[in-house]
Amino acid sequence: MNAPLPRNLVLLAQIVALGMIGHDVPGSLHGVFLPFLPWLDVFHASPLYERALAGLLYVSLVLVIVNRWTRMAAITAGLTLLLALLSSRAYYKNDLVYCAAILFMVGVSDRNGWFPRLQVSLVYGAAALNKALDAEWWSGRFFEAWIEVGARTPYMVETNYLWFPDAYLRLSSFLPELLLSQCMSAMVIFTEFALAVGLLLDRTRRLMVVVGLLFHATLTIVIGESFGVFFYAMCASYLAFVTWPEQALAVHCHPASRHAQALKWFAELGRACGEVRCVPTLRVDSIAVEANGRWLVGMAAARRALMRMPRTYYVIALLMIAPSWGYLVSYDLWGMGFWARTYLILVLAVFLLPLATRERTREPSFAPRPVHEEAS
Amino acid sequence: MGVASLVLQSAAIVYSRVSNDRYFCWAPNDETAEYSIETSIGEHKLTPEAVRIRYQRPWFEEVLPEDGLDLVEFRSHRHAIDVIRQYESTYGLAESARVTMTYRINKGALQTWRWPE
Repeated sequence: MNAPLPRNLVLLAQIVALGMIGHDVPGSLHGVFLPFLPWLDVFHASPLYERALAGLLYVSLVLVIVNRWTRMAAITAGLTLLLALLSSRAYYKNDLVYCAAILFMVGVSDRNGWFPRLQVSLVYGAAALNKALDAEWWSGRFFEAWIEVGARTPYMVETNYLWFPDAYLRLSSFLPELLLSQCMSAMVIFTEFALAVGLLLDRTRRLMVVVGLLFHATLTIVIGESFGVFFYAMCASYLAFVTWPEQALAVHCHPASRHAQALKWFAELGRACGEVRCVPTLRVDSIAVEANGRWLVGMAAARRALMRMPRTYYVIALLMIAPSWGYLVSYDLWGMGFWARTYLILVLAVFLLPLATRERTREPSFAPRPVHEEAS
Repeated sequence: MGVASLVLQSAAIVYSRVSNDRYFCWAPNDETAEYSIETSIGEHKLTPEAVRIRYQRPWFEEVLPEDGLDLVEFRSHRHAIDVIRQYESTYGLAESARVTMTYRINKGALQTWRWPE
């Protein structure tokens, strides 16, 4: 329990904490109101209880973000949020339950990170099981109703983010009744079952990480909302399934390359993270990294280098969560918020998915040498 | 502690299958339940705003009315019923309110639940 958390789990917890603060979860805590545990009613109408919970949650989330006493902070944040949820039936939200669970699991995790992994798998498995046992899901009635009613929520109408419901219902009207919704329901159930199992198996893990991220990104794009903190928390949870390399990635950079200079600046911003080290060389146009016995160049190399740096994830998380900061300024940001997040997801998909961009590679014999070796 | 957490969650999942409760069991978006609540205390009928404050229904549950239903619960209609039942049997016991919740699940037939039950 005293051992430091592996880097991927720290990053996971930090992004979840950022999402929770971005959505003002500590500030929106209820006090005790219709608690799940009746004895908590002792604290009913007690502002001190509410402030104590909020304060404890704020402090623990900040400690997670700055990576101080991270284990204890994550456990504290998870248990505090759980207590807040148990204190008010009206406050119960599944996204917050998940945040509490994943933070707690990160806090008690060993170096292999199996507790967070099992937590993610359990969520998908239980959700899939619940849907699979519901006749309304298989009949398509739920999915059709979900789309129709969701389009009537005021924030969807006010922000005019109705392109998907409109297109969906129009397409559905051309097909046999509920057929489209039956297909969508089956696809969701199958995907969740596949994620529950596939993420735990070595052979399918990488593919399932991509499938899972696409699944949640698609949901967010078509529905236009992040389901509270859920989208950020679930996407961050996939970090539990990666093994963060111990050694810094050697990025071979041409000294005059602007791309290399930009990458080097990003890597050295603030304190050196030690994740990437730039090796000047004259044998590449811009940048190159070695991966699995081959050399990635250009965009592929930049992508590999950026994904090795935790600050890349911080930037992505902050940009994603930024529309939610509208509560601090004004709610006008909500209108742009949905579309901004959609555009950002699409841009990230193009940049991050190797499937979306052709990876330029070179054979092992290409190996660039550092400048001082070139000179000699 | 991690094992204990997983065991507790698994127990909640199993419990949800044998009961109608859908809490802490990873069953989001079970059903689309549109509903409306009418609460009367004596002869006085509460306004919709007063009803939402009374039961602390969140803003994101509001929906443009259709067939008189102006709230939506995307998890389980029982969540709304549980809130009303617990409120009226504790904080609101002295007021002896009468509550009628009209709802429909997945755009099905209209149903009614009343308090006192």
